[in-house]
Amino acid sequence: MISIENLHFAYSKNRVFNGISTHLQPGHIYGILGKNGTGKSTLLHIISGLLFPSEGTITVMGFTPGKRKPSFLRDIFMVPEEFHLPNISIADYIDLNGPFYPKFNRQQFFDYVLGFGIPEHSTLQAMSYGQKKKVLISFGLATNVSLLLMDEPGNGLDIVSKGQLRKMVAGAADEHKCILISSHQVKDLENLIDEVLIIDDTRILLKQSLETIAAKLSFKISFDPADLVGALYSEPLLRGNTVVTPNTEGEESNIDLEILYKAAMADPEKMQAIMMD
Amino acid sequence: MNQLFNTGRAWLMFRKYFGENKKAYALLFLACGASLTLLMGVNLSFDNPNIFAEWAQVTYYFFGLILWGCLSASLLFSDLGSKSKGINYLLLPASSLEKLVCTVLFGVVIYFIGYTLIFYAVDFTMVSLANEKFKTAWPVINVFTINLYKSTFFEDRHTSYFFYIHFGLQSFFLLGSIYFPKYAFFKTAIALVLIWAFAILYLVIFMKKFVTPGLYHDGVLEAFDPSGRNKIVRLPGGLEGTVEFFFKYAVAVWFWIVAYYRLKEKEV
Repeated sequence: MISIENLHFAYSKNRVFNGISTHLQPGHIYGILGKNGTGKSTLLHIISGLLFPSEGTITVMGFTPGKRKPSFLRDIFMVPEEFHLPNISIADYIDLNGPFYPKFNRQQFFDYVLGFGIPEHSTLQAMSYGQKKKVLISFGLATNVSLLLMDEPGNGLDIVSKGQLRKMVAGAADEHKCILISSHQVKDLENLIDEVLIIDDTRILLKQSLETIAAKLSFKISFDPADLVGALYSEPLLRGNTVVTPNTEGEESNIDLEILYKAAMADPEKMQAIMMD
Repeated sequence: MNQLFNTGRAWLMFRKYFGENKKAYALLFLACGASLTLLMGVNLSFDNPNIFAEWAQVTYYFFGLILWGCLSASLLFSDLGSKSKGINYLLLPASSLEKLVCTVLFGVVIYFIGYTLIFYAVDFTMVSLANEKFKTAWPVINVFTINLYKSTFFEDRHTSYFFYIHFGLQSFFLLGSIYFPKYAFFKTAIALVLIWAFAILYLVIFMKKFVTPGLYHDGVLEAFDPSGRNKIVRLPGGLEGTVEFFFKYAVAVWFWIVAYYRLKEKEV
């Protein structure tokens, strides 16, 4: 679905990507993790055709995104971090925007909106930032596009709504869709994504399915100081330590995304070597 | 599916544009009406009966048409100056041509029709009041036979040249609204002045060096000859017609074409 080859991108002299290559497939929910300013949003903008790479190629569903052809645009939707909704009613918004997306489902949209607890007849003008974001997320999910890009979707949502969001995104996913979610709040992605992509310092540091990660790494709370010796990463707790070690016993543990991210950042080379094994 | 222009998609674009911008256009036309009423209302308070003569009405018409046309055109692509609005606009599933045609339809064509109707409404009222006050019989002007009225700017009753100036200028400001994300009106006005200054300098400094000394009048050059038998120099008929056609009709279209390519390469 998405093929990126030797992609370079820079904002004037500030280099963001230095020859990254990756392939993303339908039927997956990818979580893009990275520090602020590492290029998570930039990657989503390049994939959607809002930014053009300075070098390298990118194809999305057979299209070059930068050409912004209508056939391409009608099958992608982006929920940006900074968004704008016009000052009209929800019904008008749906009537004016829904027809652009052939697979848009009005009933599905209102189910999502009600699921978020927003009254059907509200006016966008009168809504808070969080409520507007819920409308936009609902619209994005109801377009049923093949590629859904969400940039920090959890920002501005309360705790209950974040849970709702995870449930809705998981419910909307199917084998034909590819969903990319960027977030610096790792907890927002837990129990939702099935592949993780960590970006740091102009490169993709890690791209792996959670299944593979669980097979190769072990996440546990240890009270034995001897476990820290061969650990890829450890973090002291009130009692004991959270430890990430290579999974030598073949026993799968629950992946803590935050600890995984920290482990990848702490020793990228070692992490890559374990994953390549 | 046609990726360049599809009538179904264009219709959706027009619907969306109208639905989301109708309040802005209503305010624009209200502002046009208010400014014309203010301008003519102040003039009505003076004691000069000629202040509502045909030539004066023509001046009011074009003053408002060009001023509001340029101001509104400089806002037509202001969405691209904001990241959040720009993302919405660029990712909307319509081609760049459909988006541009929609903007030109509303910002240029509908603006022109709307402004003209508002002008007629205000002008009819004010001329009636002026005729009442000054005991005159000035008719309301017809903008479609504008060359019938004396012009203070163009010889030979070429008042319709103002239409070409209006559409050319408005299209330049439309292009400026894509080029300049912030303060588009002022930056475009500065760019216009610089281009104008450059053109004048080019004509005065460079052209004078290459062209025989003489005088320009009525589109021809009367080249001075030391013998006293001056010569008339003019462009070949076809070339003269082409140049005239370009400046009359193609300038605005040329700016739209540049705007189309600029829109295609716009990044957010």
